[in-house]
This record gives sequence, C-alpha cells and structure tokens, in this order.
Amino acid sequence: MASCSCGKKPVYERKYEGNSYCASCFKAQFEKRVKRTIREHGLVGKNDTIVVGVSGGKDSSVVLMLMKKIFGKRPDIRIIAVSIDEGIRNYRDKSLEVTKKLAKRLGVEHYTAGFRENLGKGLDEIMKRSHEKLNSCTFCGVFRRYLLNRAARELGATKVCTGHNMDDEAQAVLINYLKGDAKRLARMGPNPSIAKNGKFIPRIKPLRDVPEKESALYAILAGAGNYWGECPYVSGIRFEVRDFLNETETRHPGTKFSFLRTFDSMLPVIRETAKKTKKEIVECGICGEPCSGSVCKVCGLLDKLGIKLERHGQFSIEKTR
Amino acid sequence: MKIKIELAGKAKTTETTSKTVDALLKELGINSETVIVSVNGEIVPETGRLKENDSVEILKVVSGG
Repeated sequence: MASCSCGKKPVYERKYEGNSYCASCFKAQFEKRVKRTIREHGLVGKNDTIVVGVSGGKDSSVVLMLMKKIFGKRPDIRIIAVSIDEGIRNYRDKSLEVTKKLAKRLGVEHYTAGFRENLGKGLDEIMKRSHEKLNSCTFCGVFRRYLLNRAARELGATKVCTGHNMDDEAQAVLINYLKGDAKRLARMGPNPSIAKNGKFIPRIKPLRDVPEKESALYAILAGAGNYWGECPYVSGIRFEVRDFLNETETRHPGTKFSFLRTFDSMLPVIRETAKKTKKEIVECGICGEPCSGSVCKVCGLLDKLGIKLERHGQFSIEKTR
Repeated sequence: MKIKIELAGKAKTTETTSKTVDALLKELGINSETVIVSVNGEIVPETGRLKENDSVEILKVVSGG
C-alpha cells in the first residue's frame, strides 16, 4: 500500500492518477478542486445570494459545508439552505432532521418547502393513489426542481446551488444521449445555466468535477454527519446507467472524467444543433411558470396524476427556527 | 483466514482467501466504486491488506435518490 506524499497512511487511492492520499491531504486536495471548478466556470460572483438545495445526503451536505467554508466570510455573499420535503415517511423526515442540525451547526439559515403544502399531495400519497405505472424519479425530480426554483425566487436568490457530482453528471449526459434528448443535453455543462427568463434562477454545481466516491469520503472525513438512507422509490434507467459507468470505471479508471470532458468540448456544437429546434419560452396557461409549451411540465404531470393545484400561484415555505 | 465483515448493518464472521480489500470486494461481488471500506475502524484504500481476525466495515456510498 503506497503512502501519501506526506508520508502518512493513505485513506484513498485515486486510480486514474496513481496517487494515494492521507485524510488531511485528501480533504485539502478535494477543497482545492471544488474551488477550481467555482473559479474556472465563474459559478459565484459579487453580491450573489446562493440558495443551496440540501437533502441531508452526502453530496448536498458537502456542498453546503464547502460553500459556507469558502464564502462564509464574504460580506457580499449570502448562503441559504433550502430542503424540499417530498413527503416520504421514514426517509425524508429522517434526512430533514440531519439537514436542520447541519445548517444550525454551520450557522446557515434553513427553509423547507413541501410537496404536500405546494402541490396538494406528498409522494407517499401520490404513489399509493396512482393507477398508472409511473417512474417516481421522473416526476419527483420535476417537482423538486420546480419547488427549489420557486423557493430561490421567494428568497431573492441569484443562484441555485446543488450537490450534483461527476457521477450524477456523467449519468445524466449518457441518459440524454440514450433518449436522444439534444435539447436537454444543450442545457447541461459546467457553466451556470443562463436564465432566459427572469423566473428561472441560474443553477450551479460546484461538485461537478469530483467523483461520487470522493464526495462520500470527504463527507465522512469532514464530519458532515449526513444521512445515508436510500429513497424507497428509486427506479428507472439512471440506476442501470450508474452501474454501467461504475463497472467501466473499475476496469478503465478515468472513464467518467474523460466522458464528461469530451461532452464539455462538444457542447458548443450540441447547443448550435439544439438552437434549430428551440421553442420560445412562454408562460404556462395553468400556473404562469415559464415553459416551452402551452402547459408546463409540472402542471402536465399533476394532471396525469389527477392532482388539481389547489393553491394556484401561492407558495408555502417554512423557516427552521 | 477468518475475518468479520459488516455490510449494510449486518455483521458476520467469514472465511476468506482474499489478502487485500480489493480482492475481498471482488469475492463479495461489490464494485469498489460504490463503497468505502474501513479495516479495524480505519478507512483504507482498496490496496489495503487484510489479516486474520480483521474487522471490515463496508459502507455503501452511491446515491439512491
């Protein structure tokens, strides 16, 4: 077992580099890499109010800790943590407790926006009542993104920060390739998503250049105290793609990294192609949120699930005391 | 040799011929990309060596929603 360059016992071997790291060198190197991602892609600017989406899992806990560590002393930058409560018993309630503790420990304001309060039903109720075979991750993801964006707008945020890591990004790129979704591919990439409509808050992903395993290791070594539970509803193509990428990475270290770099270098061409079929952004005929059709994805899915928006136009968000 | 393995909250003592963490994970059919392994309470890389009576904890770290 090779030692760290400082001579201490290693906790991690980065196979695609051939280097081993002790706990303190690993943490320092991890933080350096996240700072580089933020700097290189201009993820944070002067006077930014950043809403960090925190689920209580390892990645969002790590990104909240790091945003606070890196920008906590900047008087012009405000960090706010927001959790989305999907209403999953014995899962989200547990992770929310962990999130509240972390936010308190870091001295970060924390808010919660719920499915039930804003969409009429929680995920448990939706899954129980649904007669259709639905992929819960598909509509849960749409609703979560919508609520996080709404929360960010309510709180006056200029950026929405998420804990998406290299694995999440590589999986999303491959899924969009497999589905032939060039439009969605064009919206990806390392730079903050550009707001074409004032209602969309640009999204940033500071962990995009770190593999999932490294994010988990940092969470443990830095004492994030995060929740390790798994959502009871996980399903869909993402998990097949995840396993495929992990198996390939084990046999060919560096695969995920080079796959994402290749995608980034092709992005200008993909964006140019997607422009040709781009639709104009209009307002949803039901809720007024920006969308590219007559009805937004959230309202379309709610209709499919037989849910009528009872609190049209209103938004409920609770501050943690 | 005999080692103690803790995986997903379940502990068991087992016989193995694996001399490294990497070999043990392969023996158990676990992808090393998806776990972090501690031996006798200390996190180790996959090249970490195993010996008789070691206590191995395998933590699943891939996200599940």
